[in-house]
Amino acid sequence: MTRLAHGGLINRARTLSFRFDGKSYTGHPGDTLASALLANGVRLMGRSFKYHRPRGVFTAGSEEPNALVELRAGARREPNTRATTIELFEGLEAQSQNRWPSLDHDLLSVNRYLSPFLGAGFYYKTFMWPAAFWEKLYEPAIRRAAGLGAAAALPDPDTYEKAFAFCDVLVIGSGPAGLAAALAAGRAGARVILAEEDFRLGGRLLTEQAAIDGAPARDFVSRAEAELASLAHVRIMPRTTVFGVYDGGEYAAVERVSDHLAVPAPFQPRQRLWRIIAKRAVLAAGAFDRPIVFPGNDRPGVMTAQALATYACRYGVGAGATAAVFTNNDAGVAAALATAGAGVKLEALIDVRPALPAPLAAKAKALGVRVITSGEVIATSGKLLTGLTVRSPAGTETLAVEALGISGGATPNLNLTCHLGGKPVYREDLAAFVPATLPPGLAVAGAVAGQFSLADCLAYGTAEGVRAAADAGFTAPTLPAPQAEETATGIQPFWQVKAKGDLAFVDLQNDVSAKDVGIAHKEGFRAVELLKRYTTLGMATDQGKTSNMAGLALMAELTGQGIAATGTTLFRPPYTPVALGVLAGHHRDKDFRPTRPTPTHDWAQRQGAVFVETGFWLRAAYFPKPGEKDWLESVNREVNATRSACGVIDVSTFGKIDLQGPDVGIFLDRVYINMFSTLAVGKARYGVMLREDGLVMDDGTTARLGEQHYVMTTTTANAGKMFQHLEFCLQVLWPDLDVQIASVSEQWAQIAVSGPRSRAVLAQVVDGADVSNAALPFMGVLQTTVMGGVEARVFRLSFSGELGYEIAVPARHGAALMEALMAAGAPFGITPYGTEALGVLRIEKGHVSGSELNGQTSARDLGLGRMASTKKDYIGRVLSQRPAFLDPDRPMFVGFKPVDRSARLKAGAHLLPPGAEATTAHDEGYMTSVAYSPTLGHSIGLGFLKRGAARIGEQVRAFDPVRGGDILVEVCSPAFVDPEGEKQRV
Amino acid sequence: MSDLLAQVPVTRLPPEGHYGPAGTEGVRARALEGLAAATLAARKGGTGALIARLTAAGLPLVDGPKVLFHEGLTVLGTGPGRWLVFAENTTGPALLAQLRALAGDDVALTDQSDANLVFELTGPAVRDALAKGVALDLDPRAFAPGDVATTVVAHVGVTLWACEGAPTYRLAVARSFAPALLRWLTPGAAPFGFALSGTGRG
Amino acid sequence: MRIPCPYCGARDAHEFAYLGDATVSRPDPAAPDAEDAFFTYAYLRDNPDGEHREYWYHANGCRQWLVVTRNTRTHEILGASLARASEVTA
Ligand SMILES: [Zn+2]
Repeated sequence: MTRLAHGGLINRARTLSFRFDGKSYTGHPGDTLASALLANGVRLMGRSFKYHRPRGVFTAGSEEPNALVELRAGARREPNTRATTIELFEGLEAQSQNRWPSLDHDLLSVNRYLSPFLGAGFYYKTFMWPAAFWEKLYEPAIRRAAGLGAAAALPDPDTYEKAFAFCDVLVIGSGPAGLAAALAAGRAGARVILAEEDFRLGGRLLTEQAAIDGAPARDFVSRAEAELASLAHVRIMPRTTVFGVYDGGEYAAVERVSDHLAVPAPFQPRQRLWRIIAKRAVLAAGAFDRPIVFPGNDRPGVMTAQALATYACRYGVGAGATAAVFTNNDAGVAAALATAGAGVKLEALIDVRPALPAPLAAKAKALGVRVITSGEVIATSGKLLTGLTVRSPAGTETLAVEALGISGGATPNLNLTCHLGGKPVYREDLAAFVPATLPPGLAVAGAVAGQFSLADCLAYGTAEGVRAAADAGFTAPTLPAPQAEETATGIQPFWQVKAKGDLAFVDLQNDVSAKDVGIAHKEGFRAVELLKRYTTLGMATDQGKTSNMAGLALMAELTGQGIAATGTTLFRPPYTPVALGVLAGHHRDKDFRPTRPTPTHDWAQRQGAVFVETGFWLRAAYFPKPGEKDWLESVNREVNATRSACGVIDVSTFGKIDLQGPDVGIFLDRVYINMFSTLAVGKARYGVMLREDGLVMDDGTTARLGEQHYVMTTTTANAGKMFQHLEFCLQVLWPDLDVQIASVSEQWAQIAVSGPRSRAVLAQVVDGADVSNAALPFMGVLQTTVMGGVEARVFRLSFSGELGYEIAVPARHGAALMEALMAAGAPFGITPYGTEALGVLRIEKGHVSGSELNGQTSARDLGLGRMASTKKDYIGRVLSQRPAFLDPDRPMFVGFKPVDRSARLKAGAHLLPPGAEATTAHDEGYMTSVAYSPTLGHSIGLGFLKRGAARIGEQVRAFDPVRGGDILVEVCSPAFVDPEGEKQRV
Repeated sequence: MSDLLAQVPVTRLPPEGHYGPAGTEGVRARALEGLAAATLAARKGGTGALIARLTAAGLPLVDGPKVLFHEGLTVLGTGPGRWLVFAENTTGPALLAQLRALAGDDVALTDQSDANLVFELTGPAVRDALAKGVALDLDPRAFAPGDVATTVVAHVGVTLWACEGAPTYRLAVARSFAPALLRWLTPGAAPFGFALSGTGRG
Repeated sequence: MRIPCPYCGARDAHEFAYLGDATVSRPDPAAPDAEDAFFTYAYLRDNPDGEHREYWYHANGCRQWLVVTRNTRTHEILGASLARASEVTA
């Protein structure tokens, strides 16, 4: 046990039990999994990516490269979670990753003897040949041997949600600069959101030994938190990582609502995705302690000096029974002193510099810490760290320690400043990249800006908080900045110990060593972005937060260019890995997208309908009857009933647009290829609309209800698009036209009744209106009432080719109308039909639908060229007259029958001359729609064939290499049923 | 998907009742019954004249995203020269006649009485629940009683307006999208305690 | 990204549908060079670096077509006006 006797922000009065790799341990509230494991003496937490070297915890935060574990079990198992950020909870269960069969005895650790072959670029060099081996051999082997954890294969039992937040000032990070900024902005009256990734506010203040306003730094955190919590317009969001910066002051964040619990509380999500829209933001994300590269710097027990201090001060844990610190900077020294002060036995403080600043030297002396100046760690020993070899002017000595804190300096955590393209600049005086160009509205304060001292953090944090609030319009006076003792920030840049021996790692997560950087240099992959891709340095879950600096410093040394010229790779969102579940939020399973029921949905369900999704709509596809052996039998029955007696279908899903105003007629003339201004009141007309490029956009019928009042129908699929198009025409193209449009798609339920008996059925539901052929002829419109006073519009239209009507009633009456029609039609055998039968009926009739209006066909191609008026201009007219559109060789709309009538046609088949080779050069067209026609007793098809109409009676080959179809078909008129159109006019 | 609605068909409104921790009622939603509705649009260039005419008739119409209440009418600005009107205790045709009488012949009127469902949402946590999908700043400083917004929530278009009193909003949603909207709202409101009424047995 | 709709106020870009270049206008169909002009209108677009005027439709809002001025390099939205009211020049 290495739990220190006292100290730490943990609740020692309570004990939590947890399991790691099947073994039971205990910890306390306030612990992370990493601190609790260290407190139990567990230093081995994982195996490395390529070489399966033993690895321990390296940091105390979300930048952790090593201690990745699978958290929880079963359906909730989550791979690659960082032990350093997992809050301990009762019953926590975690497993180590990337080891086999066990963490302690990993057989794949032989990989380390293969290290000469697994160096930089090994993917590209080793597994080149033969190609088939990649999929079958190399990749599965690599995946087993290398890589990260495995995700659960079961559906996630938890829920996720999204939320929006708006504020004047978003403060990211709650260290000294963040707290100061939040206080300043909050006191000014601004709406503030303070987002902190940790479960506890304070950042470095939780470890800081210097005083603020004369009191311990932790007291300042408590006071600040209490004051912020008391301000109604300030929202504190712990456990919330801001992971992306987007245009317009928008920030994305994940709040881990329930990750610190075994299972989420009832009704609570596991995580919440926030989109925060902030007028101003202050980024106070602090800095990371970065490693120094030296042989064997990856042994479990080696960690950043800040992590060593954090475990000691915040968690009351000694990362080892004995420890040392190796550094080149004052913050590293301060961390060593904090560690010693917390009660960890510090064997030595090794500093590469010839001397420490006097105040730090005095403090070290006071604490009895041995300081080795001009010292370097040149080797480590033990499977878990047991000793160091230190080289100094005094000679070489070995130290027995279980923990080593290393600090190569502070790397500002400026990830978010790059998300909109900002490029950091290198400051030689700080040996660090700092933000240069910032996203609009975002300021930086504290260590992220290179303001490393505590006093600077507080002062700049306050200043940026005041400024952000003022920019958002809040200028109330605020209190002076909190005052702190000055903390030293000196550094002597030092990246790598020159010594031979074990591998010296640059990137622990990806097992990239100094040697790999050398290989990349030698082989010409010198630019930082190439270095990253070639060696994988800075990839994967940590994105090189702790490793990038050393990597590019080493490269800079090899090229002799200097760090500033070498530059750094660009950071992109997300800052830390984000679960896909939280990005989906509510939209999963049945709620993946909205489902729109038709007005007769419940009725159809009672009839046993099988439904199909068409866009958001759920429509009845067919209505199976007991004893029917498959869907085709049901569809055939529905088609036959409609052709012989009467069928009924809900067509409410069509787009319906109400048009009013003195210029509607002119307007319709301009958007349709045919004339509508001449349409008589009480009549409907089929129309076709083109895009400006001359291709067909949509079709449908438009009826004239009054002198200045029309109602248009669009296809179901294009309802929204057509409304948008009409608005474009009215607002942009012809704002002079006086036309008002409104969508009435939801207002009206519409039911089509088709078949020879449909008039008799209709006559029974209308309130006495004359629906005879004379009173309501084909394409006539009747405004009347039905079912005893329900307002109705009856359109005599036919998609099936039979006598037919579409009856529209206000939506709430849709189901009642359906019931009334069914009752009225019962004596005739009225039959409900679905979209499948609808498709068969229209294919038999040769009516075009979505498969034909596919964005590649002109009105002429569809055989509708004669509809186009020559007396007016309309959208698409000019370009539809281009020579290519008038080419007689263009594929034209025709029908097809299989020569062998028992054969089945397939949509998508290409049409070739019989006997011709199946090459693109011989391609003469394609089949768009096929159906089994119960009326004809065989398969029929529609499609487009070169010089189609002129080739009726010819035979062509329908070739479908994808599904293996290759049959002869006979070209025929697309109207298989009633080509003269007499049935619909009776 | 939340387990809360696992047994509710996606095509139905969730049944009325209490969702979430017992004894809490942070959000209440009620489906309003029997509203007639119509869209009112000015003729080209006629917005000014229409506003003048209606103002003279005691209905000071505003050409903007504002709501005004007048003798049982709720008039919502939905676009330049366009309004959506709801009326209690009347029918669509009667509402059209009433508006015709007020506005005269030179406007476009369209019955929408069956196009939307309207819900009233209230309760101390109503803003927190709405924030889970409404990308609008609902703070009273930004969206005060009288303000209207047509927006999209969880892929569903809605028109939302703020009412007087304790945080109260009304929300109109297209009839066929209402189940999807409540499937979004219910799990988001449940943590606060959600009382849903007016949807019957779903 | 947020677009300042003149009617609705600043709204999330997801509420809008994008069409593109607002500096082109529909040619005179009766002009002798109509076919060439329509070809250009239908197919040819500049891809300017910097400020650009674009049509956006507030589909999930006031259903107005807007002319939005956007910097194509920075995505900064410099303003938006109703297309109906704007003077669009070629
Ligand atoms: Zn708008």
